[in-house]
Amino acid sequence: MTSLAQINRIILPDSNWQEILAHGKRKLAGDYLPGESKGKRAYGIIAGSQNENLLEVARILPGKKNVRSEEPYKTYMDRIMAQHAIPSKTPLSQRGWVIDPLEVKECYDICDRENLIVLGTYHMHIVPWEGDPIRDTPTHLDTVLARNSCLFQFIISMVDITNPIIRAFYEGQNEKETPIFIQAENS
Amino acid sequence: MDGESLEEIMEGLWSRHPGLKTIFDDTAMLSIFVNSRLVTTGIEKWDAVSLNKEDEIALIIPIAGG
Repeated sequence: MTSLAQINRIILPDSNWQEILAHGKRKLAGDYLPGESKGKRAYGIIAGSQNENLLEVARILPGKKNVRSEEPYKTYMDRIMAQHAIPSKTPLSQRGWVIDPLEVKECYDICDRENLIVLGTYHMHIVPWEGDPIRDTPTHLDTVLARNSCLFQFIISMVDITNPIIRAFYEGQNEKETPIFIQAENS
Repeated sequence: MDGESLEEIMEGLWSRHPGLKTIFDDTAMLSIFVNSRLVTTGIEKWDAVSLNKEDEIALIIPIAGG
Protein backbone atom coordinates (compact mmCIF):
# COMPACT_ATOMS: atom_id res chain seq x y z
CA MET A 1 0.00 0.00 0.00
CA THR A 2 1.17 3.53 -0.74
CA SER A 3 2.32 5.32 2.38
CA LEU A 4 0.27 8.22 3.69
CA ALA A 5 3.13 10.50 2.67
CA GLN A 6 2.16 9.92 -0.99
CA ILE A 7 -1.49 10.92 -0.58
CA ASN A 8 -2.58 13.73 -2.89
CA ARG A 9 -6.28 14.10 -2.03
CA ILE A 10 -8.50 13.69 1.01
CA ILE A 11 -12.26 13.27 0.79
CA LEU A 12 -14.11 14.44 3.88
CA PRO A 13 -17.84 13.67 3.94
CA ASP A 14 -19.79 16.69 5.11
CA SER A 15 -21.35 14.70 7.96
CA ASN A 16 -17.85 14.00 9.35
CA TRP A 17 -16.91 17.66 8.96
CA GLN A 18 -20.04 18.60 10.89
CA GLU A 19 -19.03 16.15 13.65
CA ILE A 20 -15.66 17.86 13.99
CA LEU A 21 -17.31 21.28 14.08
CA ALA A 22 -19.86 20.14 16.65
CA HIS A 23 -17.05 18.82 18.84
CA GLY A 24 -15.18 22.11 18.65
CA LYS A 25 -18.23 24.29 19.19
CA ARG A 26 -19.39 22.20 22.14
CA LYS A 27 -16.02 22.54 23.85
CA LEU A 28 -15.94 26.27 23.14
CA ALA A 29 -19.39 26.58 24.72
CA GLY A 30 -18.18 24.76 27.85
CA ASP A 31 -20.67 21.95 27.34
CA TYR A 32 -18.71 18.93 28.52
CA LEU A 33 -19.56 15.24 28.47
CA PRO A 34 -19.31 13.24 31.72
CA GLY A 35 -15.65 12.54 32.44
CA GLU A 36 -14.46 14.75 29.61
CA SER A 37 -11.44 16.98 30.11
CA LYS A 38 -12.51 20.57 30.46
CA GLY A 39 -11.09 23.44 28.47
CA LYS A 40 -11.62 25.10 25.13
CA ARG A 41 -9.74 22.44 23.23
CA ALA A 42 -10.97 19.79 20.86
CA TYR A 43 -8.61 16.98 19.92
CA GLY A 44 -9.43 13.75 18.19
CA ILE A 45 -8.60 11.01 15.74
CA ILE A 46 -9.70 10.74 12.14
CA ALA A 47 -10.03 7.29 10.61
CA GLY A 48 -10.92 6.14 7.15
CA SER A 49 -9.66 4.21 4.19
CA GLN A 50 -6.96 4.56 1.61
CA ASN A 51 -7.27 3.88 -2.09
CA GLU A 52 -3.90 4.42 -3.76
CA ASN A 53 -3.24 8.16 -3.40
CA LEU A 54 -6.70 9.00 -2.06
CA LEU A 55 -7.86 9.04 1.52
CA GLU A 56 -11.51 8.90 2.41
CA VAL A 57 -12.55 9.89 5.92
CA ALA A 58 -15.12 7.58 7.49
CA ARG A 59 -14.95 8.05 11.26
CA ILE A 60 -14.39 10.91 13.68
CA LEU A 61 -13.28 9.79 17.13
CA PRO A 62 -13.26 12.78 19.48
CA GLY A 63 -10.71 12.63 22.28
CA LYS A 64 -12.36 12.68 25.67
CA LYS A 65 -9.64 12.57 28.30
CA ASN A 66 -6.44 14.58 28.08
CA VAL A 67 -3.63 12.90 30.04
CA ARG A 68 -1.17 15.69 29.28
CA SER A 69 -0.94 16.58 33.00
CA GLU A 70 -0.37 12.98 34.12
CA GLU A 71 3.00 11.28 34.35
CA PRO A 72 4.91 10.13 32.40
CA TYR A 73 3.40 12.45 29.79
CA LYS A 74 3.60 15.64 31.86
CA THR A 75 7.39 15.65 32.09
CA TYR A 76 7.71 15.05 28.36
CA MET A 77 5.12 17.64 27.36
CA ASP A 78 6.45 20.28 29.77
CA ARG A 79 9.89 19.87 28.22
CA ILE A 80 8.56 20.03 24.65
CA MET A 81 6.47 23.10 25.53
CA ALA A 82 9.43 24.89 27.08
CA GLN A 83 11.59 24.17 24.05
CA HIS A 84 9.17 24.75 21.19
CA ALA A 85 5.94 26.54 22.16
CA ILE A 86 5.39 30.15 21.25
CA PRO A 87 3.94 31.98 24.27
CA SER A 88 0.23 32.64 23.87
CA LYS A 89 -2.74 33.66 25.99
CA THR A 90 -3.03 30.06 27.15
CA PRO A 91 -0.40 29.08 29.76
CA LEU A 92 2.04 26.39 28.62
CA SER A 93 0.88 24.09 31.42
CA GLN A 94 -2.59 24.08 29.90
CA ARG A 95 -1.49 23.59 26.31
CA GLY A 96 -1.10 20.30 24.51
CA TRP A 97 -3.20 17.19 24.41
CA VAL A 98 -2.17 13.59 24.92
CA ILE A 99 -4.95 11.13 24.19
CA ASP A 100 -5.60 8.62 26.95
CA PRO A 101 -3.94 5.35 25.78
CA LEU A 102 -7.19 3.52 26.61
CA GLU A 103 -8.97 5.72 24.09
CA VAL A 104 -6.24 5.13 21.52
CA LYS A 105 -6.58 1.38 22.00
CA GLU A 106 -10.38 1.65 21.62
CA CYS A 107 -9.86 3.65 18.47
CA TYR A 108 -7.60 1.00 16.94
CA ASP A 109 -10.09 -1.69 17.97
CA ILE A 110 -12.84 0.19 16.13
CA CYS A 111 -10.61 0.52 13.09
CA ASP A 112 -9.85 -3.21 13.15
CA ARG A 113 -13.55 -4.08 13.38
CA GLU A 114 -14.55 -1.67 10.61
CA ASN A 115 -11.55 -2.31 8.38
CA LEU A 116 -10.36 1.28 8.68
CA ILE A 117 -7.00 2.86 9.33
CA VAL A 118 -6.04 5.84 11.44
CA LEU A 119 -5.44 8.71 9.05
CA GLY A 120 -4.48 11.39 11.52
CA THR A 121 -5.47 13.66 14.33
CA TYR A 122 -7.34 16.93 14.48
CA HIS A 123 -7.22 19.86 16.83
CA MET A 124 -8.50 23.39 16.74
CA HIS A 125 -6.82 26.76 16.94
CA ILE A 126 -8.98 29.48 18.44
CA VAL A 127 -6.65 32.35 19.35
CA PRO A 128 -5.43 34.71 16.61
CA TRP A 129 -1.73 35.45 16.70
CA GLU A 130 0.04 38.57 15.54
CA GLY A 131 0.96 37.95 11.92
CA ASP A 132 -1.18 34.80 11.87
CA PRO A 133 -4.78 35.93 12.35
CA ILE A 134 -6.44 32.83 10.92
CA ARG A 135 -4.25 30.14 12.49
CA ASP A 136 -5.09 27.49 9.91
CA THR A 137 -1.60 25.99 9.68
CA PRO A 138 0.53 23.92 12.10
CA THR A 139 2.61 25.79 14.62
CA HIS A 140 6.24 24.83 15.15
CA LEU A 141 5.06 22.97 18.24
CA ASP A 142 2.47 21.09 16.18
CA THR A 143 5.19 20.04 13.75
CA VAL A 144 7.44 18.83 16.56
CA LEU A 145 4.65 16.75 18.12
CA ALA A 146 3.66 15.20 14.77
CA ARG A 147 7.22 14.36 13.74
CA ASN A 148 7.66 10.73 12.61
CA SER A 149 4.01 9.99 13.37
CA CYS A 150 3.29 8.83 9.78
CA LEU A 151 -0.09 10.54 10.24
CA PHE A 152 -1.86 13.59 8.90
CA GLN A 153 -2.43 16.52 11.21
CA PHE A 154 -5.75 18.23 10.53
CA ILE A 155 -5.82 21.83 11.71
CA ILE A 156 -9.22 23.33 12.42
CA SER A 157 -9.20 27.11 12.48
CA MET A 158 -12.01 28.27 14.74
CA VAL A 159 -10.69 31.78 15.27
CA ASP A 160 -13.78 32.94 13.39
CA ILE A 161 -16.37 30.42 14.52
CA THR A 162 -18.66 31.51 11.70
CA ASN A 163 -16.03 30.68 9.13
CA PRO A 164 -14.20 27.52 10.24
CA ILE A 165 -11.41 26.12 8.09
CA ILE A 166 -9.89 22.66 7.93
CA ARG A 167 -6.51 21.89 6.37
CA ALA A 168 -4.39 18.72 6.39
CA PHE A 169 -0.62 18.49 6.71
CA TYR A 170 1.36 15.26 6.63
CA GLU A 171 3.22 14.97 9.93
CA GLY A 172 2.29 18.58 10.66
CA GLN A 173 4.67 19.92 8.03
CA ASN A 174 3.52 23.13 6.35
CA GLU A 175 5.20 22.15 3.08
CA LYS A 176 3.32 18.84 2.99
CA GLU A 177 -0.27 20.05 2.76
CA THR A 178 -2.80 17.79 1.05
CA PRO A 179 -6.04 19.28 -0.30
CA ILE A 180 -9.29 18.30 1.41
CA PHE A 181 -12.51 18.01 -0.55
CA ILE A 182 -15.61 18.26 1.63
CA GLN A 183 -18.18 16.06 -0.01
CA ALA A 184 -21.91 16.50 0.39
CA GLU A 185 -23.73 13.28 1.21
CA ASN A 186 -25.27 11.32 -1.66
CA SER A 187 -23.08 13.07 -4.18
CA MET B 1 6.32 -16.17 22.97
CA ASP B 2 6.76 -18.49 25.96
CA GLY B 3 10.18 -18.10 27.52
CA GLU B 4 10.63 -14.70 25.99
CA SER B 5 10.45 -11.59 28.12
CA LEU B 6 8.49 -8.57 27.01
CA GLU B 7 11.77 -6.70 26.85
CA GLU B 8 13.13 -9.23 24.35
CA ILE B 9 9.95 -8.98 22.32
CA MET B 10 10.28 -5.21 22.24
CA GLU B 11 13.91 -5.41 21.18
CA GLY B 12 12.78 -7.62 18.30
CA LEU B 13 10.11 -5.07 17.41
CA TRP B 14 12.62 -2.21 17.39
CA SER B 15 14.94 -4.19 15.14
CA ARG B 16 12.14 -4.87 12.64
CA HIS B 17 10.67 -1.36 12.82
CA PRO B 18 13.50 0.98 13.83
CA GLY B 19 11.38 4.05 13.07
CA LEU B 20 9.19 3.26 16.05
CA LYS B 21 11.97 4.14 18.42
CA THR B 22 12.29 7.63 17.03
CA ILE B 23 8.59 8.50 17.25
CA PHE B 24 9.07 9.50 20.84
CA ASP B 25 12.48 9.89 22.35
CA ASP B 26 11.12 8.75 25.69
CA THR B 27 9.91 5.18 25.41
CA ALA B 28 8.62 5.36 29.00
CA MET B 29 5.43 6.70 27.46
CA LEU B 30 4.62 3.56 25.50
CA SER B 31 1.65 1.62 26.84
CA ILE B 32 1.35 -2.14 26.80
CA PHE B 33 -2.01 -3.89 26.62
CA VAL B 34 -2.20 -7.62 27.19
CA ASN B 35 -5.49 -9.16 26.10
CA SER B 36 -7.00 -5.66 25.80
CA ARG B 37 -6.08 -4.72 29.36
CA LEU B 38 -3.61 -1.93 30.09
CA VAL B 39 -0.96 -3.61 32.19
CA THR B 40 1.82 -1.09 32.22
CA THR B 41 3.08 2.19 30.90
CA GLY B 42 6.79 2.63 30.76
CA ILE B 43 9.71 0.56 29.57
CA GLU B 44 11.17 0.22 33.05
CA LYS B 45 8.29 -2.04 34.04
CA TRP B 46 8.28 -4.32 31.03
CA ASP B 47 10.29 -7.07 32.66
CA ALA B 48 7.54 -7.36 35.29
CA VAL B 49 5.01 -8.46 32.69
CA SER B 50 4.64 -12.21 32.36
CA LEU B 51 3.20 -13.53 29.15
CA ASN B 52 1.56 -16.71 28.02
CA LYS B 53 1.69 -18.22 24.58
CA GLU B 54 -1.83 -17.16 23.56
CA ASP B 55 -1.64 -13.61 24.93
CA GLU B 56 -2.45 -10.81 22.54
CA ILE B 57 -0.17 -7.82 22.98
CA ALA B 58 -0.89 -4.28 21.80
CA LEU B 59 1.69 -1.55 21.94
CA ILE B 60 0.21 1.93 22.05
CA ILE B 61 2.39 4.83 21.07
CA PRO B 62 1.15 8.12 22.56
CA ILE B 63 -0.71 10.46 20.24
CA ALA B 64 -0.14 14.08 21.19
CA GLY B 65 -0.79 17.48 19.74
CA GLY B 66 -0.42 21.16 20.45
